[in-house]
Amino acid sequence: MCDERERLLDYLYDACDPAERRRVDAHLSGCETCREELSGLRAVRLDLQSWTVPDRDSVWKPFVPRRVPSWWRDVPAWTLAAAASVMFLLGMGGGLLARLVAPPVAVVQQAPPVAPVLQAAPTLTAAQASAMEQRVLTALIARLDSQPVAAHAQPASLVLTPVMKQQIEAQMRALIAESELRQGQAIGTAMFKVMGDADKSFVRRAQFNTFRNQELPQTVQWAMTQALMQQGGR
Amino acid sequence: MTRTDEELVASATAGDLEAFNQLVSRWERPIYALAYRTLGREEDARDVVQDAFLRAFRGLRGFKGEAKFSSWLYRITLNLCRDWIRRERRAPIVQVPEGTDPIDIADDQAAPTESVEDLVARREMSAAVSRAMAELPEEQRTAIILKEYHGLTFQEIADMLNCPLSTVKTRLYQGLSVLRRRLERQQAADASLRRATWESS
Repeated sequence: MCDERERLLDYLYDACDPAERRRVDAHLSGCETCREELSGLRAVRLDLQSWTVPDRDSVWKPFVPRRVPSWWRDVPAWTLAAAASVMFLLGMGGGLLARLVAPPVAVVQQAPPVAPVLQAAPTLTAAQASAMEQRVLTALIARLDSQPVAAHAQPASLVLTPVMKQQIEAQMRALIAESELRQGQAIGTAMFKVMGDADKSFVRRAQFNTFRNQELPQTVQWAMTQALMQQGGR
Repeated sequence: MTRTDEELVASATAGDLEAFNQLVSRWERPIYALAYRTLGREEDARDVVQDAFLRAFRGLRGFKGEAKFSSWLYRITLNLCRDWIRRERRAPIVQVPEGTDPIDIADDQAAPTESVEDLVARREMSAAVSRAMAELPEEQRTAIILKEYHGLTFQEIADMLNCPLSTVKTRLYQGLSVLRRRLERQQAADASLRRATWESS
């Protein structure tokens, strides 16, 4: 057989320039062996096209895009901590004031006419309970009315309005979410450290799938994805 | 407007996960086909695909763009396939769909004009090619897969496999020649079987 193997292959895959192609054409016109060889190679290329790949669903679970950052993400951590402290102090102050303002509640609970009746009357009827509740309330109101005006005018100004409650709730949620993100990052880093140490792709894949298939909060998934990227090239 | 691979890689490296999802969506099918034809089994090919994209994601920051993203992805996939073959210490498996159920066959008709006989013949040929490819040495099989099914140039294959251009051509030529002989033998055997069946009926 002619030593035209490489040129024939270029010709077969149309990888030669026009001049080379003309040269091979000229050779083929006078070489039966190479013509048969080329014909056989074309036939096998045609056969190869019948080998199909089965259809299947995607194996990749898309990454969860990062959430739109909330305004409080840009606020420095120390201000969040300060806000939390203020809220804590406010709550504690409110509680102390409430205790100062409402001592009669404790008195009423410890008052001999009320407590013994409750303990000694296991078969208390609804009507009796209602009457007793009314008596307790009356006593409580009387006690509050007897307080100096300044004493119970002050707590009235501390009553939380719905707007204030919403603000407090929003800030508390922000603090919780911030904490969740930090925990997620810590989990992610720790997990991929372990995966990197294992240095076996199937172990990494199994662990990666575990965290992706679990319905983890988006913040945790995001943090773990970031940890994965930070380990790039390992 | 469709973004190029390079643009998506740049965005993904900067932390845009959706850009990486788009790269996966663009290349998952070819990568799966490469893994399936190299390993011969769907389940293993799926594992390799997932692992390949995971590795690509982890290595994004190390990808400097000297080669095309697709070439880099192909190389990762081939390395994983090679690891799989060495780990399993065995040749690719021939996994051929049964394909004799008329309903199944009807579902697989390439076009309404394709007759059932043609479809059966196509499936038989697919199975024969799959078997013949599985018996080839790994280097020859890889060269044929990259050239025939992924349309890479000889030079791209040489760069990917880190070998001289002439070696790629030799592997390809030898692989095609062996395939040709095997398929011709197979076709002759099939024809003989059909003739015997027809005569006995």
